[in-house]
Amino acid sequence: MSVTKEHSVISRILHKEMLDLLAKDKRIDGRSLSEFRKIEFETGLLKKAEGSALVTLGGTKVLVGVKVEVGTPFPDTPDQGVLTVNAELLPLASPTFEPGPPDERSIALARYVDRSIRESKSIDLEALALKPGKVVYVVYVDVYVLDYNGNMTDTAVLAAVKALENTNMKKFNIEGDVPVFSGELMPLIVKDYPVSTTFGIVGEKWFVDPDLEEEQASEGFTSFTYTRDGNLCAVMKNDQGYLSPPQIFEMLDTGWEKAKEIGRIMNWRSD
Amino acid sequence: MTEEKTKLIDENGIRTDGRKSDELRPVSIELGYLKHADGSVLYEQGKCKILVAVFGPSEVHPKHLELPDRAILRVRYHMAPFSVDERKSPAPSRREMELSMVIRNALEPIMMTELFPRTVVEVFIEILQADGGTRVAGLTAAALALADAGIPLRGIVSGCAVGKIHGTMVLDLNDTEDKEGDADMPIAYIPTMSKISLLQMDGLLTREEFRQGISMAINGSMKLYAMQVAALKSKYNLPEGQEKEETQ
Amino acid sequence: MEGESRGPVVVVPGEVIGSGNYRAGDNAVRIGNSVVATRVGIRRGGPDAVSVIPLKGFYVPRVGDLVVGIVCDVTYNMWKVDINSPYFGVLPATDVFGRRFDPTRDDPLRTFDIGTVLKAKIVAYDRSQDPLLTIREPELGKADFGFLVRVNPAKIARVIGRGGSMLSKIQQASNSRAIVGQNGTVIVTTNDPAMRDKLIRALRLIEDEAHTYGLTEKVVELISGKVEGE
Repeated sequence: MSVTKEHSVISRILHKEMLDLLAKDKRIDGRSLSEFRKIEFETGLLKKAEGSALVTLGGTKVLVGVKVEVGTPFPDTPDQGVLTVNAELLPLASPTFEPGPPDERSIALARYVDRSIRESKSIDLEALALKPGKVVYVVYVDVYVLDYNGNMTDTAVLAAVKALENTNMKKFNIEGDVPVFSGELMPLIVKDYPVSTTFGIVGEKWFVDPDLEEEQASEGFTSFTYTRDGNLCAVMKNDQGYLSPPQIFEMLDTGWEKAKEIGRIMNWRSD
Repeated sequence: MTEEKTKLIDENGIRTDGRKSDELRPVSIELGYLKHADGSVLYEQGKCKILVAVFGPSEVHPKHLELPDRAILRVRYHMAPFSVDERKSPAPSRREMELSMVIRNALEPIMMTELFPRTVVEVFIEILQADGGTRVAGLTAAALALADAGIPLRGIVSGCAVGKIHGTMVLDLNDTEDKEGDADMPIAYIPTMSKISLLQMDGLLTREEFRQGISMAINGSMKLYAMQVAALKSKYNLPEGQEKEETQ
Repeated sequence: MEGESRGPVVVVPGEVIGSGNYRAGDNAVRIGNSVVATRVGIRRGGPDAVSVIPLKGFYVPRVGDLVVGIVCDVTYNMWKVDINSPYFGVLPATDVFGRRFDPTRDDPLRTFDIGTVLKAKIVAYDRSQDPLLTIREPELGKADFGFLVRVNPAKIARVIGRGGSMLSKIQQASNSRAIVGQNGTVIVTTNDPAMRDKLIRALRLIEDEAHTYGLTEKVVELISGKVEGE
């Protein structure tokens, strides 16, 4: 059951200031409509995880830990490894996050990160089948939102892909039907580096990478995930609000430009 | 398992169920299907069978959930255990939670919730038989049920899913086309405002194909909208020449 | 206007029913330069506003309305009354006793038990609180006799008719009394059991055909006409 929640109260003066500035293509923190906040990342910081990455986007911090184990495949995809993405909106990250089972926001975030990775074929799931039908590698991607200051979607996708890139897993051999640790480690093969770009929307105006105040004032959000070649592998309109088709097409093109820029910052491309 | 994939679209552009690439599945609408609900509809689109009931506006329980300036909306998208090939557990899945939220976000803005504060409107979308495109079909049906319940609305929303099979963009995916095709893009449109209120995409599309998909989905939604309007108006059932306009 | 259809126009939410200087009346809202319907119903144009007579609508309390309600709860200072609306009516103890409930003297349930039918008037209502009721005027208070019929509140105006014409014709033809609450609840008092069924059918007929011509005649015929087989 999805239920209307009370929106955070944003001061009227701030909201009005935002709208006035947007009418002139400006934002409260001085950024342009198509400017992202500063992106920083760190990898390999979790010693007990097979792979890990911490990405900071403006004031938003997302930590992703990757654990790889062996297990059984899903019955409908017997010759593929398993990818499972989970997201936790930690109560310490925001006054609006409460402890408890995953709520619709964290589920939607996890599913979006999953689709971004899966549909771009970022990791080769078929290469993760040790013995098709019986034994496969299981890749757990756990997204931990540590500090919420707007746009956890883009931050989470970046952190997840970076963590996968950083993953070194135990190599198993198959003896009969039983997996046996070979004693060696091998890197997880990453074939694509999907990047998501999220837009806040107010009326006919859009702006990339909404910060916390902009999120509270926005009518809705749209996220686009691009593969390295500029194809789309996931799109999600979040929250309420309306989009006009011309608005969507503008965001689509701007998003691709930003995805290339971000890909360079993350060392995934050099063009 | 390397089975040959079903040929989803043949040389003449005809799909497995006989449709052309931009053709909708047949739709049937029965308003007021449930007598005790404030509004309801039994909606069928191809092999999808969806029942939607609307209750409210009514008092909020527990009271602390009420909002002082508008009504709250509760939406439950749920698939019946017998709605799919392999029995699905009745417990809400993560997918159903996400879809309940996505549908609520597409419905709430068209409802004039500020007109009845401190109340709740409940929308129950029960998928009895699923065959692809259930979230947008459920949304299309929910808009009908809300109008049937007399909830004040700013407009009516209609939705359909587009996809890509064998390189061709197609409208209104059925289940096979969704599972074996290359993309699934559900979209909901409000024709009287020319605005999109639901947009998701899952799969792999070029940016150009994405653009085509949006246009195709808008056209499909306009056709569905015409059917929604006809169904709502036909409930009046006016006999020819017998009407009297209220002049008081 | 040349070529304009003379029949009523059925509209659906979002459909444009007026533009430019027209004011949005009942069940309509202004979006941009147009006025659109917000409910399914019949478009009604006036000199300066355009509105919709809805097919279905719930009762929103209005100060001054006569309502027929059913007591559903009692708390320390008031009775809670179901007035067939998203909002419950509040009948304060002070309205009935002239003072607050006194647990040593009063048993509010003896005065008005759960299920008591009350004729009341709305004296106050705003968006931040539930509608406040009074039974202090003549003709108001507990209803001991009669049966209740719930009618779609959007059709109540038709049950009353212009200047009360429909209602008085119904009462005359059936030799009964009817009290019509604006909230869609009607109390009908009659001694004749067969008439009770006819009256219920008459009210349903008005609900279904509120927008049609010749309704009054049909209703009178139903009430005073012969039962089949007689």
